[in-house]
Amino acid sequence: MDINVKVKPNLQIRAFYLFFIIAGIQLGVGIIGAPKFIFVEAERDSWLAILIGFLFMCVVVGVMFFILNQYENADYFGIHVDLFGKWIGKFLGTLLIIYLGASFLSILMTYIQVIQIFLYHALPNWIITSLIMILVLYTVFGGIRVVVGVTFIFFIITLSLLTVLYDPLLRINMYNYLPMFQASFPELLRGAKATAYTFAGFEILMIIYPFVSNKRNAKLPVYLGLTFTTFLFILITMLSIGYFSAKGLKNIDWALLILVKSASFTFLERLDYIVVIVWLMVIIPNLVLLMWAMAYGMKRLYKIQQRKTHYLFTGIILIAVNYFQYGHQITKLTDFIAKTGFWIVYIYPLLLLPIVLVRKKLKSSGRSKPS
Amino acid sequence: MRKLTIMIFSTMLFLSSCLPTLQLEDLGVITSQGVDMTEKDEIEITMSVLQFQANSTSPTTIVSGVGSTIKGAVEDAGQKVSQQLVPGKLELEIYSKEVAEKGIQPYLDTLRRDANIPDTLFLAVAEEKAKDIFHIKEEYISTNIGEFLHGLIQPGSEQRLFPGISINKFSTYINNEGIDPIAPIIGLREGTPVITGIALFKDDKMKGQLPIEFEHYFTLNEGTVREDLVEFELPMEPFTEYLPKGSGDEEKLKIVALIEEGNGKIKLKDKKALKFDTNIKIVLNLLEISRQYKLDDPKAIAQLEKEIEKQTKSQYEDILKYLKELNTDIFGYGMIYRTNKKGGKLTDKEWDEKYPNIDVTFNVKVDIVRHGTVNR
Repeated sequence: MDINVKVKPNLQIRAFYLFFIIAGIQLGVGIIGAPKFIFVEAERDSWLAILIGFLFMCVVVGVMFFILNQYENADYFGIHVDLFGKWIGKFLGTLLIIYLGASFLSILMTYIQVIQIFLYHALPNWIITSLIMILVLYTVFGGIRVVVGVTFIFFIITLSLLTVLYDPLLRINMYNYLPMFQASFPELLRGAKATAYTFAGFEILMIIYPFVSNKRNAKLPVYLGLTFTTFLFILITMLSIGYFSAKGLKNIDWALLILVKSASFTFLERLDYIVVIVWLMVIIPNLVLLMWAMAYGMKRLYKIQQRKTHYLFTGIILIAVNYFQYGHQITKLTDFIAKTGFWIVYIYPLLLLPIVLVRKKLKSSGRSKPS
Repeated sequence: MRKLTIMIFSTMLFLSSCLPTLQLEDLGVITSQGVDMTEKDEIEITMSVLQFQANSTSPTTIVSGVGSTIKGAVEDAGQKVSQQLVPGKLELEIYSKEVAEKGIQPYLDTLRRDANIPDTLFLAVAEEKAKDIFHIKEEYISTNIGEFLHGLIQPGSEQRLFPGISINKFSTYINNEGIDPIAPIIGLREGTPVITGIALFKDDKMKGQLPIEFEHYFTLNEGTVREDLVEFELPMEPFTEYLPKGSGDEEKLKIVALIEEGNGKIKLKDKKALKFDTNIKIVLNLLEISRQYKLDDPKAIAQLEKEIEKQTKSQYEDILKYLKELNTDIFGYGMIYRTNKKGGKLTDKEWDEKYPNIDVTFNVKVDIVRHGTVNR
């Protein structure tokens, strides 16, 4: 297996699109329910907790860039094999793919649950899944450029959803924010940890990076993407805190959708239905990016055709969704993804860093000896 | 590839029929409903239902059902009509006074839990039985009852103020320590439903009521009031020097003005002694005055402002005294107290004990900026 990837010029993407890839994969189902989880920990100072999460995320992304720049054109799969040898490297790569698959499932299940609560109560999971998977398969068959294109277009379209938030903005109660700065530092850290599920997704950078054609300009769009997500996250969390009572917010599962419910126009009575449906456009970038990353990983590790992985995984998903019938199962799955995601996405690159550094030193000293 | 495309399209075609269809003709759209208690302690729901049938004479029918839960009662009512009852456009829920006094928390649950029920739903309390409001003769009102009731509430809802008390606002206030909700009371006057008063709640239980004339004292405190008519009745003596001679001899000077902008702010003055300041600011546009008055004289206007301030202040003091008796904190002093407290936490019990002892100074500032096209 090659450690560095040779990407054909017709498959490369411009660094500019990294903004949409990062923001697109971070904004998904997580943000619908996230205000509750952060508020439970950090109360009124949730925005501080999110900012701490953001700073930590920036450090992790900085480390990711550092690791990536040690190689010519490598990704997670190549770096693993380079550092740990063929067997352990491939094992770690497989774990990563399983994690991506599990987060795919959790995104899908959460969305299905939203549809079943808001729209069609009795619609079986597998029907919704089939309809969504048709879209996903159709996109990923187009290859990396179509995947990025879909992410870009859906991101632009769904931005308009934000305007719906004007109504709860007018109804917020300013006193809910006071007094500020009451949360203790451990509470803030726990709140920051609660952002892990929503912020997760930027690990895609370690997989998609070899496809970027102008790598020198890659940092800015990535950091901007992170900033944009953080801004949106703080906005929605603060709106929820202002709009709901403290006791109420702790019991609300889909804070964002309830926020949207209060808006209504004379020509459009129930905006929430539209938002629930349009939210599909928000999660499709999530799903296609994850699907692409998984299939690409399989190709890198085991030389399996991407198309075959797509079909296989779709089959697994279609079977797996039928086992999730209860709300608590989905909560459990999401909790599990949030917990493991915290280690895989946030902590793992930091652990990898010293290994990469040692390796680099060994290599350079090995190289300098003969000279 | 073509095979795949055909396959994809056919799956989309067939799978879409898995969605349950809802045809408008088969639906009864509930626009408003009233909740009563029967003698057997069961819930009785009276609904105004919109139906879309070509041969029916009236677009709405009134249906009622009895059950031990809200949903059960709706189900019971559903058996009396040929359509399926759907709550997707529920605009108003009215509770009978008896139900409101017992506490409406149990009825709010399904409203918040069921995602099909819109959050733009308003709450109100009936003067007596909620079903009486629905069983009126339609000749008295120009439209159907559901639309009519919603129209009563509508003006406030555009400003997000009373009487538009949405389900979310109400439940937020219940859960918030240090502020209690209000709701409009709807009653019948000569066979027509009107808003007759303000129901004062303590958490989810109705404790008392005030006539609707006091509306402004609450809306001013709730947020910024714009374009709202207000009436004052002032004693005549302070104005004698500004009244042209021989222009009548009523005992009271009656004034109608438009609030161009008005708002109230609460400040905590002394945390230990529980001293609060409420600063009310009202900008008025004079529209009607019962006697000729020297409005071209700035001093005369100042005198008018002073008297309105005095009266508003004493009204506020009376209202607060009554609220203290009921121990309901409608104005939200507890909320201000909480924000100034370390840790920002306040329990219901703690505030219940402290609230009757608070000391509030009302500072009312009235500005009459315009008085129409004529001076006298």
